[in-house]
Amino acid sequence: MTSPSSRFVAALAAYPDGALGPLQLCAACVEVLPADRAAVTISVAATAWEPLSASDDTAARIEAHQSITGEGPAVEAMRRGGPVLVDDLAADSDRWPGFIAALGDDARGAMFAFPLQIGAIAVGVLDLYRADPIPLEPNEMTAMLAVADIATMVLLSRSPPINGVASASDVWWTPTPASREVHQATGMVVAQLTVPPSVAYLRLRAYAFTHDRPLTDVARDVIDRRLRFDPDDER
Amino acid sequence: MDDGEEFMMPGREGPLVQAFVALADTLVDDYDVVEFAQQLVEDCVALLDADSAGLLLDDLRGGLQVLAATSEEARLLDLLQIQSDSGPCLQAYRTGQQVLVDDLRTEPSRWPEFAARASAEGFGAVYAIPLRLRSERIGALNLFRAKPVAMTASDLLVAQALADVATIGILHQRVLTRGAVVNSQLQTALNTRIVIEQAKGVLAERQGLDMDQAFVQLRSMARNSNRLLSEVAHEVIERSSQAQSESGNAPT
Repeated sequence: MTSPSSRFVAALAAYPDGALGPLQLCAACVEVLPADRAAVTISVAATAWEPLSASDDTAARIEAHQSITGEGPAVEAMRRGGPVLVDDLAADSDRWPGFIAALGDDARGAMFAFPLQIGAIAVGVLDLYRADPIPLEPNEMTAMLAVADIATMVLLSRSPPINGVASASDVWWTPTPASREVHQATGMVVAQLTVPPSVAYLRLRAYAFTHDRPLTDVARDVIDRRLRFDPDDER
Repeated sequence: MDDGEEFMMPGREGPLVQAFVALADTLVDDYDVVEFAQQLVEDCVALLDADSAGLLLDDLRGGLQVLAATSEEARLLDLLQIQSDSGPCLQAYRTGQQVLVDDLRTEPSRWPEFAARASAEGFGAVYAIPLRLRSERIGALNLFRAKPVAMTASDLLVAQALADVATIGILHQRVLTRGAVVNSQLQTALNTRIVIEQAKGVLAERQGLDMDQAFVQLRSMARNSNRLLSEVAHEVIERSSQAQSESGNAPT
């Protein structure tokens, strides 16, 4: 039996080069996770939300209401920096009165919002829905987190830095194990290049990828001041 | 003297009460989970005659991650972090039982790599206390002593009490909720830690600091402005990534 995250990567890999977008991401989520629909909302500014894609019309409607009312599980997940789990939308009207009222008949079933993030790198939120109000089991949540990690990488960089290598995309999307060196080096590159942390992180990863070195080693070189990223090298 | 009684509390009772009152105080208002955990590991060292302490959480990705440690030096952090694979913390976390090694020299075989590195860092004794809430286990508190001296029964009571306070603080107000929600709180705590690591990097680069100094700097920035550590960390990153437009060099 394979893990949901490896089935997720396999589902993504089935799309031809260039065809993988947010819509395919949502479809793959529904395919491998215990969820009936999925949607991705991205943050376009600190307090502005834009529905990016959804696996069906119901999910798209719910995302739109969330974006318009500026409240709901995804908004809270992003603010809190952690998942927000709503077992039954129909029972949670006090928490987000505007959002739930706007949903009307769609205010039922379960909704789970997973921030797509690495520290201060906030890409968006993955919303997963169940038609029936069934709470998440811990193992289901672990699977969703693993998929959210991959979705974060896919959305951070739609195309891997090396083209023409058959397995490049799988490797590129597979999240690197968490390491404080990588996060610290990301911060250092932010300051070196005056770029958002998402760009700094991608630069580090691309460097590791093209030099075929572990990301943690590259990060260690940055922290020890053996490697600097120069703004003039920016293409 | 009138105030004699207050000073007659035997041993550590006074500091102990102060520490718990301070921790409880923190839990009343909005607080930063990393700052809270930091205060707690520092209390552990002071109250339990330990030399170093660290707190690890389940990252729900098959490992444990350091949430706070008494030193930001790589030597201690690495010693904590390698237990993601094997060591007393992982065992305490998995079993929900305290793991007490009074003398690392006498039982190095349980975790050969961990024992060798702990000894190399000058530690003689190590203790791992599980962080648990009913049937949920979320991580472990790790204490180190340079000398191989056994913990007393009352030491262990204090250690477990501090671990229990840590659990409640990390899970925030949601102590009555179930498995998956508990896990969502861990994600929030660990992501806060990542933001702080990123901000440390920014400060280290801009001010030529090492990571330990950068953390001290970040904490004092938060204290001086009376704001949450995570808020200040976000702001440090935000400012640095936009500095260009403020300098006037960038086209507007």
